[in-house]
Amino acid sequence: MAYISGAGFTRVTNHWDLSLEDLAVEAGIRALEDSGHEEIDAVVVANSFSGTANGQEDLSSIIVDQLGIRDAPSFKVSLEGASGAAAIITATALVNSGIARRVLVIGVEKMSDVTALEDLTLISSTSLDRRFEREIGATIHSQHALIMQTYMRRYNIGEEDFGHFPVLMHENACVVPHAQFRYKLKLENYMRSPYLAEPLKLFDVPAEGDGAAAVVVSERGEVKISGFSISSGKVMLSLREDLLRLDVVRSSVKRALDMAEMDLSSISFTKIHDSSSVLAYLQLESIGLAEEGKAPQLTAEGRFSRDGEMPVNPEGGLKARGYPVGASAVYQAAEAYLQLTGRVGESQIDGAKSCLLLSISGVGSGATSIVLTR
Amino acid sequence: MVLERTSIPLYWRDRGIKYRLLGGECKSCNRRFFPYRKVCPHCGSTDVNKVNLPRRGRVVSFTVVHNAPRGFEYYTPYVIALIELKDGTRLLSQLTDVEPDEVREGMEVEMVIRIHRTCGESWLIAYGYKFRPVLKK
Amino acid sequence: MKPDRDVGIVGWGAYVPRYRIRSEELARAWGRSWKRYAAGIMVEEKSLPGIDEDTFTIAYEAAYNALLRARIDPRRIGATYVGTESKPYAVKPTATLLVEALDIGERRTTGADFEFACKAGTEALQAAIGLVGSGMIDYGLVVGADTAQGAPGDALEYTAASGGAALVIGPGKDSVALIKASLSYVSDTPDFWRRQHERYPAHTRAFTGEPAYFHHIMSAARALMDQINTSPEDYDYAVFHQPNGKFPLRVGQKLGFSPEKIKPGLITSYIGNTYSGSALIGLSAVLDIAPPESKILVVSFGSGAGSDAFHIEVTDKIENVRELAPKVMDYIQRKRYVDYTVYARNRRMIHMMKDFSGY
Repeated sequence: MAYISGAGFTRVTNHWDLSLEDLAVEAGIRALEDSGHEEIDAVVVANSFSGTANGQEDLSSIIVDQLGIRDAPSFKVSLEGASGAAAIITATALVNSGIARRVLVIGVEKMSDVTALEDLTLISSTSLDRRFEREIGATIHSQHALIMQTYMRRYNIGEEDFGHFPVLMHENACVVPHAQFRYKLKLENYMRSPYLAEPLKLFDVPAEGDGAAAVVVSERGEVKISGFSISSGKVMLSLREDLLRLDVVRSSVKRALDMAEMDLSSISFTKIHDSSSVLAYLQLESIGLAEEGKAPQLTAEGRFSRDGEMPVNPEGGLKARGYPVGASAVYQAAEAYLQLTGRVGESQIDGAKSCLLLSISGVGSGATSIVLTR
Repeated sequence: MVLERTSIPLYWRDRGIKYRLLGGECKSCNRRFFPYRKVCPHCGSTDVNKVNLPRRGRVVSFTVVHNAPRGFEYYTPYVIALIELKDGTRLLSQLTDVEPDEVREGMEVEMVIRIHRTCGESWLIAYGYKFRPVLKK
Repeated sequence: MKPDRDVGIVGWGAYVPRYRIRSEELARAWGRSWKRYAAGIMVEEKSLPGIDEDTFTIAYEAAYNALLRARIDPRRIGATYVGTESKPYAVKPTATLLVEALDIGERRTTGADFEFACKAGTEALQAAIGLVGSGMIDYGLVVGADTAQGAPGDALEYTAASGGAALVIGPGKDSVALIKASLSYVSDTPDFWRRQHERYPAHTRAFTGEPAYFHHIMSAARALMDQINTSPEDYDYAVFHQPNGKFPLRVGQKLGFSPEKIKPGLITSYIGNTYSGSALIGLSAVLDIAPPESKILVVSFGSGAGSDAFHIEVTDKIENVRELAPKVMDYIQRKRYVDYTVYARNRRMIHMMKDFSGY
């Protein structure tokens, strides 16, 4: 059985003075310190865009070299926004199988070295089908927007209903020291924000922030990795039967909970992959935390607030804590580890015993679920 | 700067699909799909034939792109639409010859060939399908 | 020139982009009064390409329409020719793009781009007539299309327009209109040209008139009529190259054609001068309406200079195919006016950063 025995991360922001590898080393050192300097016998790096944004491949070798770890196997695991979860699941498999006893998982993303908006849009859209989505001008935003449009039409709701989620995320992040945006967002400011791809607005999506997070996955520890699963589905929107059905979420959540021998009612809090407001709603509905079409209303009513029935993204999610793409699921795990061990200060959820971590690749091409228990 | 140039072999390989809406027709589940691929995305069968898809359809859903990736910024704002062809096949395409505020769900559209993008002044002009409001019913 | 076997038009099709700019707006951009400055050219508005259109995309739609009317399997076409002076590539044929996009001839087709200023399209037509007439091929596709250039602020800016037309040429027995005879007249007359690597053409103002346009069109028209013993009275329609709204009427008058015979094919007044597309769009507009047995005289003009003349007789098959594709007037009536800023953007007249990633 595998456990998390240490965690560390940097703040999510534009780290002008830190390089891709500086960030990774920083998070790695903090996690190792937190775990009490355990001997590491493998390193798994999670990252999505080091090739396109940083021109750096063979990333794990660079990081391990700079961390000063000698003679440990290392490799990079990549699954776009869910890279971090895929890396943790890989590390868990290494430990569970007995191949390794302690694995350092480092998630890192460094987008701010790319300064032009067109280039950032291009890089963040590389999870689309290149030949028949991206080469015709579709972007990551156009895909979220098409889903949002479909959601609005089917449930007859307006654009302001999508503002409830980012408003909640900003609210949560205000007390989180490592969050990228520690300010409250008003619904009217959400509504006034510019369109990226109508009706998707700037405040529907996270900004690309730099950051690195690390956890130590060990054969012993305080928080148990009791369930996990990865699901892969259809990439092209035009081939999906229903844009509002995230089958990958349903199946991965079910398998992870089954493995943990748990159900939703025993989960203390949930972390989802809010790469857009509409995708956040669809995840809440696919997990089973809201009926179809009801997620906006339940969000507005406070069900998912930190003191609500089912707290969601207590640190502010991708939207406000920040979205270092390939590292984001490692942030989820690191934050959850601190929550479950009662060490997060103002954003602490009292008595939290278990959590469900959900990440997404692309606009729902794949999904990862991890269940952690204390 | 990240300039992703059109890959010539990639463009060349797909030109039949991009110019003539080459799709697949599954012999096993009788459903069609776009673009052509070896394995049916609906049922997983490999018993798939190539077929030229109908050029007319209707807009199912659309969005107006304001924040374009490099290579497309000259064309903003442009419309990306999910289109259902006459035979039920769906595909994603840009709309053309229509202002963003004129687009409606359900609008009848037909295929034309237009410039998708270029890369600077020296590289290839990438052409392919776009859809526009039907000229004549 | 007459072919060995009867040759005719099996299908025709045209295309005009949706966008128009008024001459008044063009004048305004350069601080001029349209009425004083340019009303004499009798072109009140002109077409311009959409931001994603060029000569290939125009040629494609015109050719697609021609194939709809021709009702033949494109795989039977043995020649694909595009006449233009605004090739998308300086080096790389437009014709091969058409072959691929229309699935022509299973690629067993000759294909080339022709250039002869505004008569490149009819020059391509003569080549196709020769191939079909000699029996080397059964069907040929010819297109005249342009996104015509005129320097900003120059008089040509009021007329340089975008559009094209296509003809499927085939054996006489299948034809909706027989091409009974054709003739060309060329000379070295430098009235208009564009040097290699120049963006815009140079022209010689009044010199483009008498020694160029009028001399060549009249010489070709008279020579053809002499050769086949016809006179202006024998024709129901006359289509002349139309650089503006005035010249075709005047050349017709000099030759003895009444304005009524010219106006059905005089399209420049609505959309401007589509250069290589000009005479062929005019012919398409006539075929859109001409009853069986109509006789049509077509005379193109290309600077540099030369004219191609054609004697065409409509057959009774024309009624069967007329409605199979959009007509010239369908495209003319579909329009959206733009101002000079949109015009400048669509025509790529704005200087972008040196490393701009692409228009």
